[in-house]
Amino acid sequence: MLQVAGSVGIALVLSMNGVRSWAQFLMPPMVLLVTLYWVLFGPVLYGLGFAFLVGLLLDLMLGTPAGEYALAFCVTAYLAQLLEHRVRHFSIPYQGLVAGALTLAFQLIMVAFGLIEAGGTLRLAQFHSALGAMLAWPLLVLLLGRLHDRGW
Amino acid sequence: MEKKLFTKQVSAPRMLLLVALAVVLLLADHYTGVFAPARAWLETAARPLYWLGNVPGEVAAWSRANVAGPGGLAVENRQLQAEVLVLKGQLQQLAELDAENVRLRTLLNAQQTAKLRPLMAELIGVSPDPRRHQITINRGEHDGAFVGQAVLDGAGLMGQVVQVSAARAEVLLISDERHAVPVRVAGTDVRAIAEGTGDFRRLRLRHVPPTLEVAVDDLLVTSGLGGRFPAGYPVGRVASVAHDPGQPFVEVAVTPVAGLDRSRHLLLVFPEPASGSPHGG
Repeated sequence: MLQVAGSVGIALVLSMNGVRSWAQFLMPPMVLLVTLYWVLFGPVLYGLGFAFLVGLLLDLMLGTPAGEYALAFCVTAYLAQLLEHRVRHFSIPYQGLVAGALTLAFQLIMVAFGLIEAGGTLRLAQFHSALGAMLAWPLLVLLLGRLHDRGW
Repeated sequence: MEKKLFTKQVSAPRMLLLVALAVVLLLADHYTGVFAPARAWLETAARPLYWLGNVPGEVAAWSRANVAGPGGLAVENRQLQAEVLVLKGQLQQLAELDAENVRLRTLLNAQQTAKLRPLMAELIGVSPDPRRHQITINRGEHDGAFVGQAVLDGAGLMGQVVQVSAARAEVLLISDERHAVPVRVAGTDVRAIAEGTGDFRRLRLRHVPPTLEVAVDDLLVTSGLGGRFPAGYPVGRVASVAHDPGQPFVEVAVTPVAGLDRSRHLLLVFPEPASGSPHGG
């Protein structure tokens, strides 16, 4: 429990210090990746409900409409669960590809919310974080894997 | 219920149930302020996270100020002294213009323009969502900050306060797609609305007819219309004017003068006399 709360907290801190430029679009969604890690490799308790609660926490902290991140996290976690048995047998770089694809799905949902809310413009850069997620995933698995091995 | 929601078994109905719950929450949040207390509580609880997230920026600022060495500091000091001298000279001229303006307005029997008092604020957080150009500053209700307050940096308008809590405030930048600011062209006084594009380096003017006198490099300042932003603060310079003959309006791109993606030190603008008692910083 402590490991999960700690890792989500650290991911929140990392997210809050985002750079503000075009490079921001490359920043991987750290909170989502940490949530997906626990959904895929964590104990039984960490499923859709957990993803929903983390998303809701993010909504309340970031001032987004309550339920926006919760919905996107929940749907992305569900997609991750569908792939869970296969992902467990993938090598870490292949897992990175899956993490990138799941981030892409997450961004699609968030972009849809953006279009509904503000009638905003759709830009390709919004999907660049999937690339960041692919690159960040191996490091994340390494770090959280060690934490996980010690804790359970 | 808890047992059914908090389990790893892949279940589409469970996912759909949570999606429906999210939609209910979205509607509840949109039509009622039911989550306001939770947000306020979380703001207080998350303060250490914001502080931690700001540590790398603080370290970078500290190292820039202290690792430069005595030579670098002396050069910087000389530059700052020269800058202060120039600004003092300009201020003297401004004081004379201000007095003249008051005399002329008295002669015309026109209303005096409101005096404004700035309060320095520091950036402590940035929204991790790239679609939202929103920043967090270290001034809140305790300092007199209020929703709708204009925020500037050394060069021009940054945005406006959209949410205030005890010790910090959320600022929506002018480049956010949800933001629009009434402007006028300095010199010609032509009025327009500058809206954000989601790009830190670009704004656009909305509904500009081809007959409007706008040229590249024109300076746009706040018009003060709408009563939200004080008049006369620089917003941006016209970067390009393009007219498609098939379209009724001209496409005008504007480059903001404020360092929207760089500035760490900002100014909150208070009308004077302020209703609260903001103390200078």
